Amino acid sequence: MTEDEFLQRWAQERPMYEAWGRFVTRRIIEQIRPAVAPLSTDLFIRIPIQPRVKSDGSFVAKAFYRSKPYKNPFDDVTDKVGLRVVVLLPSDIATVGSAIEKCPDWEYSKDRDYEEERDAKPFVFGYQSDHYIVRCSQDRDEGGVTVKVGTPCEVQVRTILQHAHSELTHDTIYKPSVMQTPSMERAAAKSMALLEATGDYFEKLAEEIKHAVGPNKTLAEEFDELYRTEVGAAPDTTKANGFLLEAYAPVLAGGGTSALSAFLAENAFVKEKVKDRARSRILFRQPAILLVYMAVSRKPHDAASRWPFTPSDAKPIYTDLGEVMPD
Amino acid sequence: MALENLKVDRIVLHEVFRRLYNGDIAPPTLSGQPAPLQAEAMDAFKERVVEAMGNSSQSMEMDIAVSTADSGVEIAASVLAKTTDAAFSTESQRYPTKLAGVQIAKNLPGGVVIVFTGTVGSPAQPFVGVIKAETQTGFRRQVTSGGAIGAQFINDLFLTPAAKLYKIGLFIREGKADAPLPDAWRAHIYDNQMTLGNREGAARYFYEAFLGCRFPVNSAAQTKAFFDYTRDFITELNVPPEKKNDLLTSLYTYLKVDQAPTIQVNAFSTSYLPEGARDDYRDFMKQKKVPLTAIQKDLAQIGSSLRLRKVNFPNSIRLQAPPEVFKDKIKIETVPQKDAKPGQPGAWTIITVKDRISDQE
Repeated sequence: MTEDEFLQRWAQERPMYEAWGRFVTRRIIEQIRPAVAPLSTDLFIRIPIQPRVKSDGSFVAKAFYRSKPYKNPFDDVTDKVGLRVVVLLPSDIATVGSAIEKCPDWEYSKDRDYEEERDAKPFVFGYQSDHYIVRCSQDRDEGGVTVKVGTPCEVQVRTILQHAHSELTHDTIYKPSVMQTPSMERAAAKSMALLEATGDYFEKLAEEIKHAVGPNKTLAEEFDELYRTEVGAAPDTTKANGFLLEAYAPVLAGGGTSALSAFLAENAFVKEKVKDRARSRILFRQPAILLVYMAVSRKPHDAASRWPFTPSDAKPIYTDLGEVMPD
Repeated sequence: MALENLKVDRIVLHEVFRRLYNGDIAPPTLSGQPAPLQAEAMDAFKERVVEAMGNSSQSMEMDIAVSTADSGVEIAASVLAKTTDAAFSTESQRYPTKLAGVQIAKNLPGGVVIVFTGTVGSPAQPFVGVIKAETQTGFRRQVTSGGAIGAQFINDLFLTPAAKLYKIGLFIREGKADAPLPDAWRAHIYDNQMTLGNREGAARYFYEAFLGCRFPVNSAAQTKAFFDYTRDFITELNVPPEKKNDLLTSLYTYLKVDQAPTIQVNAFSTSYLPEGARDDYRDFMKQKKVPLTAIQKDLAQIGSSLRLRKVNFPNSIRLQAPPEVFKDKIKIETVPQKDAKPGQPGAWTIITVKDRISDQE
């Protein structure tokens, strides 16, 4: 196949790869969502996923001009379309990995596993990232384009620290376009070692934070679930939820959400009110708002003194419950 | 009454005017169609109603005294029975027409008459509400084309948070629509002027002549329940004896010395109780079925208990005084006795009477 023929085929098939990249992006996010709820995937994925197809130049260069020759260059280059999932902590990588591995819409292979590479060469501090190739498991229509079975997409999964390192080094050192010097390599290895250590500290810190907020976090998860089932809509959890939980969790006196479920069963209209108000006000899309209703209904004075925002924002809750908000 | 789960379906506005100089009725302006409100405006409207009626010291459940043709409750029943917007609007005109007829005194102001229907409570019960809202003046900020801020004068504002400028009557139907009037109905009235001393004057035309209601006949029993249960609550409260003494004194003061013609749970608690006890007090009174809205103060059943406040000690020692002097003339302190032997009291009481002895037996 000549370069011209090669590029012709690429021009023809590129829309299919673009479509596949979009599909994989969407499905990965969907797969991650339940694993990280109530945290939103927008927060969990630190850099928005952007599927990218190879430019003509870099594709041709990779297929034809490389020390390792491809037998069947067009098909053997598996990163014609690729995307990157960047997360905060090393442990988050496993979450993404298992989301990718469990998805039934593709066959996957793991081409690079940075932990395995690290175990194999414990003295080396180099590029770290997990690479998956996911191949379409059956012909599928994606936005009017047919994606053929077997179409590959490369998925890189790394932490934001690993990403920072790779941004600086990958294009220069691991590609032959720039001559690398020993001092450059040394500097790159030093920074990787430092970043790896930092990653470990992050993990430890995250563990301590998790331990400290543990009770509230499980509560947050229970509320998330409760909001979904009772209100019948997806919550839109923001920091406000944390403030509300912190302020009103003591009302439950460590008793969990069963008291709240009972309250909602007794006052069925509350979920209707929440659903109604949630349309226009983000505060009513916070799962913990349900708890505020219970607190106001039980102890209006106490609830007013706990309210963490501007008092007028709580007035609709009092009005719904037929109570007057104390000044 | 807690107006929980308030839903308003229909609102219509009319207007009544002050009587003419010769005492004749100035014909009211009547509207033939509902005036729907946008979501935010509806929220504010409901908030006004709830803030006025809900546990306020100026709202009260009243007895329905008149239920004959063209009485407040009869109009409510027939307004509620209208299903179309047009029929509802036309029927609702009977309220402003009646109000114009009964507000005989020439000094009574005109105002916007708002008739609205909906449901309240859980399970939801239908109601008809009628508001008389006086208009106010105010200013509105206006940015000129040059960027300067100016003020536009407005003279027909109504239903601002200045609650003393409106009165509300609410008829809630708690039973079947075909029950003979007024069996299925309860009436709640909000009127800022209800708590003024001259209850007989200013507010009466609204709840009585206009809506056909009267103060509940069981006011004396309600006042006694309020007194008894509040006293029980304070006695059980976990505070030092001096504080308890202060609180009991304030209860006597509230009932006997205060000139307001109504008493109310929330008004008492915000004036006198420590903040941490207010919710518990409210729960306690609710449990004991004392109304959380205003109660007409009627001391007929507790007059004697109010005449003297008593503090009892073991060994038949008793201190007694009229409640009004307790506050200013008597000071009670508790002093712990560290060296008290078993069987001896752990605390002594110092009583200071700020006067000399006038007589002893």
